[in-house]
Amino acid sequence: MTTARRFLDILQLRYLLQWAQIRRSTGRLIWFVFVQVLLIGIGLLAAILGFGALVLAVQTGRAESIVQSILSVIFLNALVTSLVLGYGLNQAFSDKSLRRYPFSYSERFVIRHLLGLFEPLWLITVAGYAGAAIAAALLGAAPIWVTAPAAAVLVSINYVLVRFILALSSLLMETAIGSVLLVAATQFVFFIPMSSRMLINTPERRAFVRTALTYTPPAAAGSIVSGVGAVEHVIVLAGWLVLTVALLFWLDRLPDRTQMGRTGAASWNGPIDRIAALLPQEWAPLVARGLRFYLRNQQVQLGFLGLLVLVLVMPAYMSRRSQDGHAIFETTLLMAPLLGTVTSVISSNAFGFDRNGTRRLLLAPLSGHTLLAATSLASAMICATYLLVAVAIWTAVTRSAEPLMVMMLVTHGLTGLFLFHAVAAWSSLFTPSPADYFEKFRKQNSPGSRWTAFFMFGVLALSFAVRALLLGRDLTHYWWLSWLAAAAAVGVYVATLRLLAQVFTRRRERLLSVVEGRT
Amino acid sequence: MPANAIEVAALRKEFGSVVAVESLTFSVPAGSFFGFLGPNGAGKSTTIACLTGLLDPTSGTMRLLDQPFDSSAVELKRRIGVMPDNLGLFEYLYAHEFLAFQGQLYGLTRDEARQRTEALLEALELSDEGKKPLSAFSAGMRKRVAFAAAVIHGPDILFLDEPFESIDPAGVALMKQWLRQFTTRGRTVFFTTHVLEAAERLCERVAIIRKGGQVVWTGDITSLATEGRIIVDDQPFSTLESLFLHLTGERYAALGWI
Repeated sequence: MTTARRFLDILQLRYLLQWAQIRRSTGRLIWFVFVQVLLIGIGLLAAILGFGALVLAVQTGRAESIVQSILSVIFLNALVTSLVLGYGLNQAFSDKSLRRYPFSYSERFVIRHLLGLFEPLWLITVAGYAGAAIAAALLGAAPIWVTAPAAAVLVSINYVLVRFILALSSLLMETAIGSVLLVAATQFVFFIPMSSRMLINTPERRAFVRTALTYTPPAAAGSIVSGVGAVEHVIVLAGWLVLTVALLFWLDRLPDRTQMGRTGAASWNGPIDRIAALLPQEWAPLVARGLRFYLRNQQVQLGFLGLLVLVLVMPAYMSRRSQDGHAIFETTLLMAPLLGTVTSVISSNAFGFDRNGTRRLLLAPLSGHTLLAATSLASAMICATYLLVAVAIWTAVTRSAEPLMVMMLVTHGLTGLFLFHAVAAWSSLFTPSPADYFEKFRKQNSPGSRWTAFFMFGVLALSFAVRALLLGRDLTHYWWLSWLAAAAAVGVYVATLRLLAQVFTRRRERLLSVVEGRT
Repeated sequence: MPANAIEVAALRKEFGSVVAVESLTFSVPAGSFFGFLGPNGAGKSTTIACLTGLLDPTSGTMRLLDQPFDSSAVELKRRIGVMPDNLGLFEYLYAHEFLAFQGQLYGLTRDEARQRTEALLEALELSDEGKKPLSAFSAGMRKRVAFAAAVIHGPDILFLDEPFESIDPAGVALMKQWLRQFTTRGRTVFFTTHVLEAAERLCERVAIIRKGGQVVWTGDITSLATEGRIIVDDQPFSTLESLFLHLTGERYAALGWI
């Protein structure tokens, strides 16, 4: 059997597995067909946009720069969507799962990444590049045997670069110093848009950056696709491909040390043990387990940083032209509910991430209310601590912070926290979905976690609407409203847990069946 | 201590249109080592799930330690220990954290849980793995931890679902020794296994069920050890395996090409 044939067999297996997952319920089947149709539509749109943009570019006589810009946008979109939002990262099979088949390491490497390219995000990206390549050929900018390979190489570089950055990030996260470096690098990337105007402020610097940009993959591919490419562009493109593949191959071969742990004696008096010791006997072990469950998850750890940037830096950026200190406060205040959602990656599907551990919880001598409340409390404790730390940082870096502002930030953050945890408890129980706790980057949203995210955006939208429509200029005059909202949110949270405890008995078998992958 | 640790009458469990267990009736004397045997898919794990409060039966009654039992019987649950078929581990915890969690959840104080955890990890040769998450443990090590979690609080009834698979001979020997000690103190072990030799050596009584979840035979098998045979349906059987195959109707498929 040839390697190509075996690859097709694996591709077929990948879709059989996907189909097997989908066909378990009619609702999911309809959803699957809907998503596929939607993706085809988006792909066609991307292709048409790529095509249309090329037509425009050739007609205006600025083909090269416009094509370079289009390809750069597609390139950056794929980078940001996958690295920041976590989409398009499913490889279908891990190297470990492919080892049972008769493939060499190199073949497994190629198969994994080729299958990764069949993810929706990458199919859309390919459609965009293909639209540009076909249009360039039809308009006579360059023959199709030049534009198509250039587009193919560009999408390969795009994909491999994402994979390389992820592999490098995983490696860095294995050590404390590496994690610090990663955090610093991420912060640097977030600050690029803000600092670029300050740093690139002379004609010489602008010229230097412009020259440097011509050596990027989309710029080199843009020159080739628009028909003005030279050998140097081909070399640049080939160089990027060889470099990124070689780096990814190298990183891929390093052993995964995240699960190895170390040998050594057990530690009994860590901070979590000390916190748990303060709680009643029935709650202490559950809360300690819950705290470890959330705090040891790497997606939650990354969320600590991302949310801080979003909630503390973005308001400063959005209000940078305003001389009024209240503008920054108000924008921060309206986004503060998000600080109470820092565990959202797994807390809205808590049982799904615990998988077989859920069986242990259901076997335990506990009432449904204790189980649900203790699990939720652990997440709420982390979010509340995070909220307080974030507000403390905000207070320290903001010169105009007043006590009333600080109090309002905390209470509005708590409103978000309690509302989020009410909805997350609901979604954990009613829409569980088996998920991989140790996955570092790929999004694993359950249907309920998507609705939870929509709900929180709704809370933000409502906050902004109330601010815009009903209130006067100075929000601190309405401090009582933040107290009222927080009290109402606590009420909703407590009532939700009581209500869920009543339905828990009826849901437990279904819950177990789903999280253990039997339904 | 009551005469019977477990009493099951007309137990039935349905999953939609599928009947996993049907009209199951048996009892397990207190202080006995009871084997619950049957082919794959016969309903052994479903029965254990009902008896441990994980699932609610569709109909029928269950009594543990002379008290009615269902999934809401919180106090009774404290008196049982369970090693489920999928082990039910929290992959992100270290072994000592997991065992201390389990001990405290079942009523031990923090100090008691710590002392017993350290003793169990030492005995199971896991005390050097204090910095390693359970996800990094081998299959045998995971099973040892799950076994330790089932016994840490000193339960009156121990439910073990396939306890000996994946464990090395030394580990199995240690577990068997502990289990014998467990029953000599009047406690009850209820376990399922496909390793019939193990059941033959350990159990005083067994129940054999067939596909569809019906008990086809239940009785004392100590004569296998003392007399080298057991009489069932007026036929002598020299091993539990031959009895099992006779009662369940399981046959070896002959594949000439193997």
